[in-house]
Amino acid sequence: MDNNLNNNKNRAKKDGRSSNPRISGAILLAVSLCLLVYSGREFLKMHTPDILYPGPGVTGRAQLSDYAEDLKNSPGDTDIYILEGEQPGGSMLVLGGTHNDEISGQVSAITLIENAEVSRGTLYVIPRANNSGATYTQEMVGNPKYLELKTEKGIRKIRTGSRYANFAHQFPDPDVYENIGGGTYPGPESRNLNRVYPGRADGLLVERVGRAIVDFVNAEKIDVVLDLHEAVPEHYVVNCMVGHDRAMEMVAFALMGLQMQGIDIKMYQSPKVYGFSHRGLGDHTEAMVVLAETTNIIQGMFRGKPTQELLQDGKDPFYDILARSGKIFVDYDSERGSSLSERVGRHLSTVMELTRSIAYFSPEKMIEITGVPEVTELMENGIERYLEPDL
Amino acid sequence: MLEGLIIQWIYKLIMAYFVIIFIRNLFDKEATLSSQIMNAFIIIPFILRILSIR
Repeated sequence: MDNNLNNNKNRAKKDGRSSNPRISGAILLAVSLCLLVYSGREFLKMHTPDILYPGPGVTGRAQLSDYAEDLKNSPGDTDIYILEGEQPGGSMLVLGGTHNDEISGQVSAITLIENAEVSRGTLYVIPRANNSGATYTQEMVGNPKYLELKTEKGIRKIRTGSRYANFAHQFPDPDVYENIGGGTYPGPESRNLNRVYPGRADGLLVERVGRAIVDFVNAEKIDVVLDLHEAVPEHYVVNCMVGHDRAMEMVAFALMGLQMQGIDIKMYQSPKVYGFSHRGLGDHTEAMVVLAETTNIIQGMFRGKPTQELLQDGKDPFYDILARSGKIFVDYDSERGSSLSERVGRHLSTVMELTRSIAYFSPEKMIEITGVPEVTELMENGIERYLEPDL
Repeated sequence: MLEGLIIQWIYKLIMAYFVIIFIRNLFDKEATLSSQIMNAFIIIPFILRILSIR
């Protein structure tokens, strides 16, 4: 009997089979379930939103679902911060986090919420326009999950997110995505907020978010919308503003102001292609819509290891090679890099120059904002100085 | 909307079917240790996917 058992065990060992599959199966299942609980908890953490620390200028808060009932309690709902001045004037909406991996847009919006004070007119800020995209990091790219800024008093973590909404929230992707204006894109672009404008009220999650933003702009009669983005240096729409037809005069004036501050920036008129904020939002609202782009090296196809340093400093020697051979559309050298402070500074200077531009063309729609650091100040002091550390 | 929900639940059911197969394979009498290890750990992403899609 014992001999038979030993023989079976030896044969099983020889064949590579487990001698007692029940016990080894149970042990492996237990280990697997332990790992499942651990990884599940890590996975769920991505749904915990970043905590913001609104400054004294914030006078109210709303939700996007206040303008689109069906977004309530959905991953597409997002916070709207309101900074209202005592004197009447115009209104401006700043959209950060349309693409959550284009981190300077989100950080600029947060800096406004934590620092800006408005004495005339109203400033609306949505730091995570595509809130679902803030819940996961783009697959197969290896970007850091968080931006970790070392402020004087401690670390401030901001989720980097993805340019697309989380596919767990909008599933499955169509093979080809056709937006309401007839623009066709690859399937995953149905989760890209900046391809769905003006959106559909009965459409996919991201289309409903786009529609809710259009409804919000119309309901509040917002005069100017600024959508903050970043781009790779090898793409020509970089370090620039793209304006809707009605906004071009205002954009040109703001461009001169930015160039006088020493900022290298271009301007383009919005192409007649639906999906983009500057076209879809501009055509379906009375607002003058502008999109701004800075240079983000970590998004580039030729960058090295995507580290926290690269995210913040934008110093990558591979891009020196491309710059020398004239293959990129920005003036770049890795000694200087393209720092987050500079990129946020460019965006915040754009906000301020647009308010000056409105004051010049339509004084009755003037918006007076104070406490916002501009590009020179940010490059001197660093963005860390203007953000609160995590508690 | 309804079409999306139906597809989601079909997807979840297919994933659940695979999880059952993996667990059955895990306790198969003829299973080798390497196949048991594979069947045990592949369950993790499948269950996470079932729980996350909504």
